Amino acid sequence: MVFNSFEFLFFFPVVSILYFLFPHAWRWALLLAASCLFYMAFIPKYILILVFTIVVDYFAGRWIENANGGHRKFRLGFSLAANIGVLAYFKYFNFLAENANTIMQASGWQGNLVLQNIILPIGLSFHTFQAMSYTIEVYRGTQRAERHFGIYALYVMFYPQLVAGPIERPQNLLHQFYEVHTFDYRRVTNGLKLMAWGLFKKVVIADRLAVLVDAVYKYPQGQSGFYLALATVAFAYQIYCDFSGYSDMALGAAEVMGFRLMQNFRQPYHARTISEFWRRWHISLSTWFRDYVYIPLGGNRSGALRQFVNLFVTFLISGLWHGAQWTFVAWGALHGLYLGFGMLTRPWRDRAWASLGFAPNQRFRVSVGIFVTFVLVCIGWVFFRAKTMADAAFILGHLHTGWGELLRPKLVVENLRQLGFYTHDISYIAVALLILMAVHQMQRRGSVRDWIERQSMGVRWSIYFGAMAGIVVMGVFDRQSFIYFQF
Amino acid sequence: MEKTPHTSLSGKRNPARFWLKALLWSSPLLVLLALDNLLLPIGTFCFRSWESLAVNKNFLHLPGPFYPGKTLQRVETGDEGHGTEYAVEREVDWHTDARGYRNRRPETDSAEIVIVGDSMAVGSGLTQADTLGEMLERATGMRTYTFAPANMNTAVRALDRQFTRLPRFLVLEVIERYVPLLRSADPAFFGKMPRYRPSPPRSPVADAFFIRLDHLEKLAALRTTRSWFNRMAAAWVRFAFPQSASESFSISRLRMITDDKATNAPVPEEVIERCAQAVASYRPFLEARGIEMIFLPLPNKETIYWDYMEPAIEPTFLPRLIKRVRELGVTAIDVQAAMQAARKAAPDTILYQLDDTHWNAAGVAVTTAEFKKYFDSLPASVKNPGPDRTRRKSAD
Repeated sequence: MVFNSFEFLFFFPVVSILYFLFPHAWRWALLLAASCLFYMAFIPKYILILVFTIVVDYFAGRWIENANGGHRKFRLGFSLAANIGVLAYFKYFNFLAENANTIMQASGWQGNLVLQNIILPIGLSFHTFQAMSYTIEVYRGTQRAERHFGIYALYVMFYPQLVAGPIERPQNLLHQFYEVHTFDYRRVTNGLKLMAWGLFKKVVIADRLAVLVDAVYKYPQGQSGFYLALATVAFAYQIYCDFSGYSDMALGAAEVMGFRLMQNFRQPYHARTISEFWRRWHISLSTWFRDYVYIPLGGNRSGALRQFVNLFVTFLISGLWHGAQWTFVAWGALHGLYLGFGMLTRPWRDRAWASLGFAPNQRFRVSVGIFVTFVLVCIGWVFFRAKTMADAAFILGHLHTGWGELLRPKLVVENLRQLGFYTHDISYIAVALLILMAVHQMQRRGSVRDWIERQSMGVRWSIYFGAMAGIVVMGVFDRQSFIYFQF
Repeated sequence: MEKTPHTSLSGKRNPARFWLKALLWSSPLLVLLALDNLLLPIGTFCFRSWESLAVNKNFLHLPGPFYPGKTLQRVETGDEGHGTEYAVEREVDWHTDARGYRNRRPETDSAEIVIVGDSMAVGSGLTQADTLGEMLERATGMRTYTFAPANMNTAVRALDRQFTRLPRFLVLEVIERYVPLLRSADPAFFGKMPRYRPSPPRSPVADAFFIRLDHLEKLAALRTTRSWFNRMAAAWVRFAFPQSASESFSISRLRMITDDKATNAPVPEEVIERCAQAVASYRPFLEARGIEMIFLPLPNKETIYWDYMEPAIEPTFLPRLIKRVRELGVTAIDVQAAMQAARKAAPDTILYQLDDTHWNAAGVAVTTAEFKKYFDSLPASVKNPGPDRTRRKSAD
């Protein structure tokens, strides 16, 4: 079940109302049942994978807590192996087998690994990582092993963040299942407003841009550089609005019931450097990799070269986390290189800016930083979105062509129409992106929800009705999946 | 788990205020849905009769593809032209029977000619009197029943179970682009004739309820509101970039002829053979029921107006198919040849709707004339076989 589906329109209010009607002692059972239903709406039998990891990690957590020294490490290793094993089989087996077959054929070896007919379970990487963070934190002694099996299962399966995060830490989420959440008007309406904003980003911006992006990236060889660049920028906003829209809906749905999930995005395209981008983009994943991969590898504690290598390796794994394709590996590697070179050249760049007389927070320098970072991120998105490395290479090699069309806007409109992006789509996207920018601008000054609360009744209700009309009129409702579900 | 007091929705944290505001917030939507589903006639917010009457999801077990027992009169435009300057308005009326097919008689259990087909047989964009079924009935004097849109399985099963008298002719109508999708008859399905079991009488109250429920699921008012806004949102582009005459022609040509590539694509001999065998596979089963099968492949609009295509290549798919089908012993009506001849004789007469890919009354008339020629050529004993065709009483 996805948040922008007709089913969820019934599921969410029913579960939320029941949540407040149920005695506190049984709410965990209600949420667990609802989460199972939510997950089983995709492929029911895949619930067994979740059951497997939940059982393994629940007992592993308790065994780790009761063990010392080498035993403790061994039990953690057992839990991690089980989780990574599931991930490896369902997500990476065919990728590894295909590459092994290619290598064997190229080397003239006899042998052929048979590919499996596997459908990737929805959100596998998310709930596996969340489960792994639990056993690691128990191992580190920063989290007590959970005694209540149902509560632990709910920690892994909590439906708002089950299939696409945020990837929560046990310290933030587990204790909240013991808290008593009463119906609070302000909190409930705040959660609903956040859900509406997420839905707006998803159905109005992301799904409308998807039409253009899909048409161009389906066969990039048929397009000039201008349309390739346009589609890549469109994809940058599509994936942002798709994923942050999902996160907002997850945060909002949880907030309605009284749960606080971690913020996953903070206006990433306002980042001035790539490292700042990663502090603003998919925060729950980047902090996961920071805490459980980058820092254990040595972080920045062993010199610049080692830090470069650590960054590169971390982002290579991050790329692979996103998908079992070389395009994702290349995307991760590219960001690793960005960060590594950014770190190594930072003193030189600071000196160059200083010699030109620009202080770090001067508007021009900030604008250049934001623009350069956005361009670099977009280059990365080419690898992320392209079907193959050859497509990505073609796109990057032809980005400079066809810009003369900018002088013939009528032709651009007609060509966009040929791509299935009609004139009303152009109007809606223009309006929606203006709204997005305005909201981002307001968010930099404070909470938009608080700002709305301070307005007069007329303004408030105009916003509420406008939001509903905007979603109903400008939304695209025939495209329901979220990009990050596949990861 | 720690024991805590039960917190209900009627507690002290303002749930009443919340519900009141939620109701107020959703009131525009609720009013729109109520208007569409409770007050206004069905189809007020639909842009064509087809959308107004078509069953959206068959989970409600309505009997056919359209709402049963309905009559509708309205002005509509074609699929391709709707909401554009190419739209051509026409007044149409629709009548559906108790089975949910587009037939004027409310209920029938016998017919001389049965037409099984797609949207062309239904008469998309045509008024009832211009549909193939009605024109054929007027031209031949034989009672005609249309099963469309329907496949052979549905139609033959309905004939076997619900018609006290089987037809003498079954016309299998298929639009050219769907011919390659035809499947061969399944002997397990067609081989044995099921028991005559007419449907129990339907409850008008239940039907009315299910029709409204099905209509609610269409969210027609919302969709129409969205399309109004879409047109308004697109208007500025037309204002900013008005089309020149040559571009208008190009778009109008594209509206009229939708698919150059598909029509110009060569069709291999094995595809012709497969399609012909699929068509012919039904003949023995129909013959066993005393029904003569007539194959009616209808040309795509672009097949008739092939000279507007780029490149202009005369399509040969249907003539080759018809030749092969006839070799296999199935009667086939060559509408493509008839339409090309009609076009040559009266170049100003358009045979398809200008803003739609479906045929118009002139196209149906040309086809009906071909049928008339065929029926007139039959010996009197075939046309009037006598009264012994009543095969069943009300229950075997």
